[in-house]
Amino acid sequence: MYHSVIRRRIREQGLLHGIMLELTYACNLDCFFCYNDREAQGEPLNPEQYRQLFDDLAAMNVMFVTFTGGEPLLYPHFFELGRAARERGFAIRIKTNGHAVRGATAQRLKEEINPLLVEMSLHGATSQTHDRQTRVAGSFNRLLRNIREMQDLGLRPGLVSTPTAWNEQELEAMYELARSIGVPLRFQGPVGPRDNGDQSPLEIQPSPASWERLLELGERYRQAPHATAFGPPVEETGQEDKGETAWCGAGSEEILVDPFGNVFPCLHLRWSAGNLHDLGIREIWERSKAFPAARELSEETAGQMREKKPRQLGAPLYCPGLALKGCGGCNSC
Amino acid sequence: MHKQDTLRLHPDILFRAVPPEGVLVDQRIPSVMVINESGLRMMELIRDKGSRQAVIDALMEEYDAPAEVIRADVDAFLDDLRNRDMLS
Ligand code: SF4
Ligand code: SF4
Repeated sequence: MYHSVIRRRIREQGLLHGIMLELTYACNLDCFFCYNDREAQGEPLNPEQYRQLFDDLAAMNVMFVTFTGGEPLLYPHFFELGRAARERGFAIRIKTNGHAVRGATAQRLKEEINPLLVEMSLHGATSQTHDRQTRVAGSFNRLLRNIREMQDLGLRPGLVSTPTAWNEQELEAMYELARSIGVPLRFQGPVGPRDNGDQSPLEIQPSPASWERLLELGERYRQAPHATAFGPPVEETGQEDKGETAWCGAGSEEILVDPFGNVFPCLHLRWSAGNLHDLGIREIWERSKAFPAARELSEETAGQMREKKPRQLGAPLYCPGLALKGCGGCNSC
Repeated sequence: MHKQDTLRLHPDILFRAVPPEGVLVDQRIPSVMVINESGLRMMELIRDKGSRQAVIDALMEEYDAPAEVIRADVDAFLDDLRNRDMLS
């Protein structure tokens, strides 16, 4: 029912349901395919502005707040923000590389924020493959150790992976690894260009055959790959809506705010909707044409793709935002 | 059982209105559920008032229904929440 009723209603009524906050582009890892533009300039939002944002979002009945980055824990006021979000009753997701989530930090995360999900990236089933992506030796072993610690504390870890030419031989092993440690794993993709337009991450796209393999594995492990960054917020009750008219949640399910207060319809549709230094989120949400335009794009895409098997950059997925960045339109027809 | 007046939602239970219904997240499972309009109102009152009697009083102000009907509805809803371990 959540899928069939609520997701459609939030889109049709123009309600805001979730927001993703990129707190910083700083990171303690150095992934080859990282899409963040670390040279991006602007005035970062301060804690008071975030508090105002949370007040407004709570008044707008927003359910989900996701902290991401860069590495969100490197934002100097991360715990202050997490507590403020928690006090206002949001279901909080944290997308982190997990490198710093241990010891006192992990404990504070549980006690002060109690997130719905701590989602971390897995780049391979071995330290060699994972660390090749992060370019930080020991990051794989540390991730596994930190996950155990999180589980002991009652945190809810999750894993997400992007298939690449480097890990495509380990897809099944990654599923097995995730199963052995009792953590859900989902795949997303495809690898996209950096936000500054740099196309070099595309060099490590996996082969089309690996995507087919992933689909088979997904059936076996009951996980389907998601178009980039789009997945259900958590496990859902209810069935998929056969009458659904949208392709994805662009402009309704989870809008994006960058560290400098710029608001966008979603991760890959970086159409400027306004800036929180100038206007409150409610005004931006109600006035900007970017959100209805994104919802329209999602519906148009559904109309064009519903009966097809779209592929994008070799993947059996289709993100209209990536297509607009010039990355592989539908080549199914 | 219902004489226990103080009510507090479990910290892993979160909800929001998506008019006319509501969305409830149980972080422990985790799952997202839909709650109907009256369930949503009772959840809001439990959160804001924190006691069974205050919830009943508020609903009596809001609805033109006999007190015993409202009391029975509230108690049935509280039983359901207790069975799901949603009150702490
Ligand atoms: S952990 Fe994430 S933010 Fe950090 S370098 Fe890797 S992809 Fe980029
Ligand atoms: S446009 Fe792409 S990134 Fe945006 S919601 Fe749709 S699938 Fe996700």
